[in-house]
Amino acid sequence: MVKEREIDRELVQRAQAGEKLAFGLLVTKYQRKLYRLALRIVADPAEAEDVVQETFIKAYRALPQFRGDAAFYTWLYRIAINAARSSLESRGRRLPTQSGLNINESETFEVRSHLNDVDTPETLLLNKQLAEAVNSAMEGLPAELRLTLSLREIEGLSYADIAEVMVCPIGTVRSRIFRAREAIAERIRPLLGTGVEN
Amino acid sequence: MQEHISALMDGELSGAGLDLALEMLRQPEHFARLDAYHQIRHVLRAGESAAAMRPDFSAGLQTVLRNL
Repeated sequence: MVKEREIDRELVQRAQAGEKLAFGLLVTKYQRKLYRLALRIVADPAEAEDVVQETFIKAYRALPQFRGDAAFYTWLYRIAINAARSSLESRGRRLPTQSGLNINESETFEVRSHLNDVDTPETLLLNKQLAEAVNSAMEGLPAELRLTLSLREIEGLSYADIAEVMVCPIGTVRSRIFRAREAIAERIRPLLGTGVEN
Repeated sequence: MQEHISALMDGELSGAGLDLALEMLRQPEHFARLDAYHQIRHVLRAGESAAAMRPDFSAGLQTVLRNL
């Protein structure tokens, strides 16, 4: 997690210096988590997407004032919660009292309740298809690739920790994680509507 | 070299490696690659409750932000 914060700090500094690509990378990293958070608050997929877009626009404009006292994602989540609250109020609605919003819970994906209730049939289908494609691709990976990626994505271990656990060089860990991601990405690209030439 | 993009999202790059990855990500196909990796992470951690956005939302958002 420390490294995640370090890379965020580096990207924020580059974005503050005017490098739009760096901000774009932060958007790519956090958009899905913010969407999930916003969906939980506004309970409408289209409105949640508007909240996410509004959040990043506000964050981009406020970036010069971000001094890095808090983690970037914490700052971002606060903007998102305020944007979602404003969206609700503009529609004469209020923040659900039972939402129990907690930034740390949202970050670690512990919050899962009620999301299926607010998804459209299309997004439910996409969720299902993505999960099936990712899981199926994971199962089809050679064991060492599957275990290495699991240690990284599910257990959250650093490359150095994985190398120690699997008794192999860090370069091997890095290569295995890349190969595993590429194999899975190949399976989900048709669902994402993106093409990547190798 | 594409490994750099994978390592970048894990916070395992610094210095020249980071600069190289950022340079690669100026190309749309590499940016899409990184976005797919993030989608994979999202699904692995949350499963079917990952709450997928519309497939074209991500690209549209990037366009909006580029034009700010």
